[in-house]
Amino acid sequence: MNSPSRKEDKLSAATAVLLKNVDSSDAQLTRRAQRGDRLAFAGLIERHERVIYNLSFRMLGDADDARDATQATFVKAFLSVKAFDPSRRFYSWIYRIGVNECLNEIRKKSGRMELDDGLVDATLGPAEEFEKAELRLHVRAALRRIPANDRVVIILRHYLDRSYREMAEILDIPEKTVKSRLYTARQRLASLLLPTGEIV
Amino acid sequence: MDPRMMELVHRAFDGECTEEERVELDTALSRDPALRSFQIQLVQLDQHLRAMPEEDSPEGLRPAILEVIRDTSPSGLRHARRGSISSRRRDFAIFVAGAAAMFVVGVGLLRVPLPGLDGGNTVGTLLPTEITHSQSIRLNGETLGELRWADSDGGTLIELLWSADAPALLELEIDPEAPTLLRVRSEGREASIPLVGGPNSGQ
Repeated sequence: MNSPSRKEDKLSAATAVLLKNVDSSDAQLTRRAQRGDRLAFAGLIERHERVIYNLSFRMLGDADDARDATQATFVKAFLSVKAFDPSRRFYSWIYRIGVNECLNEIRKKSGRMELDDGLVDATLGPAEEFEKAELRLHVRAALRRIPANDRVVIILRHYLDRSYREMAEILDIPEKTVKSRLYTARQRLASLLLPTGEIV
Repeated sequence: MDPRMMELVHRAFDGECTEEERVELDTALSRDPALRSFQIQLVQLDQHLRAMPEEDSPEGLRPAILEVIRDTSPSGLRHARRGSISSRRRDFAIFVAGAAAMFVVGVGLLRVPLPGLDGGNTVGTLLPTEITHSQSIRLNGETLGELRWADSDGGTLIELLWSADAPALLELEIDPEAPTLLRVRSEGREASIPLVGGPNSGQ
């Protein structure tokens, strides 16, 4: 058995490594995960869980489906992390897995997705809160009404603030396609959300 | 409207145009009310979209993912050791009613909102690796839970098994001056827990 001082030395060293872990970049954590370090992969989950959940929630419009998609995304990433190209950015890779997971889910449910028109209970709360809630529901319903490929670019740009280049990398399509898809998606959404319905 | 200017409105909004293009767009906007209206509508659309706030991920999602990963082996990685938890630990895990939280602790103060009774059904450990140390958490003589940690070549992950009767908010602090001491505060009570040398440590 180690003496207390050696144990303390070991723990101090571990604490120092722990601090390094907190400050590690995605690239460092990914490299360690590729060597089989599950703690490092747990760190990657910690960093990206919320954004993948929100991506899934906005894509699928349902909390339970989003939860399942998020879990499936990280499990798939874990299973294939050794094949990940470390010269790429981890978030692009995990977003791509998440997007594909959502698109697959949408395909499976095709024709069965509810189109919630966002009607709310008029007995709810003060007027301002009601308006906010109503707007959120309208946005959610509008997002579900546009094609899934349009929805993806809207979410990546307006909620996740990804650049054209990053979106192209995540979706594996040319930047030119990203732009045309984004502009078309905006037009479709505007027709559903804005009073004038025009953004051409 | 000039289609090129419309594209420039999109690109300027997305932060994707050059300084020269922005100057060109500003000139066009000053001359074309329809283009200005188009720009305003784009801003309004963004405002509508952002009315949908970011959601917190559901409680228990991360432990659920880690639980699956713990029992999953990617190609080339060794299997997680399903049988590595001793029966004593398993019994204790059941005793603490399965409320569990896992987190990475750095130097400084960390406030940990603990999941409620429904937050987990953990039996065993959430740590995706073998436990190397464990220590009871006691405040004023009352055992509130168990802290476990494991260090590897990559870092230290700490897992907390927390009594169902314990308070819902816990503050943890590792003092940079004494990194082997974990300070635990909850509801005005405070204790310092040595992270080595406890009755269960070094296993």
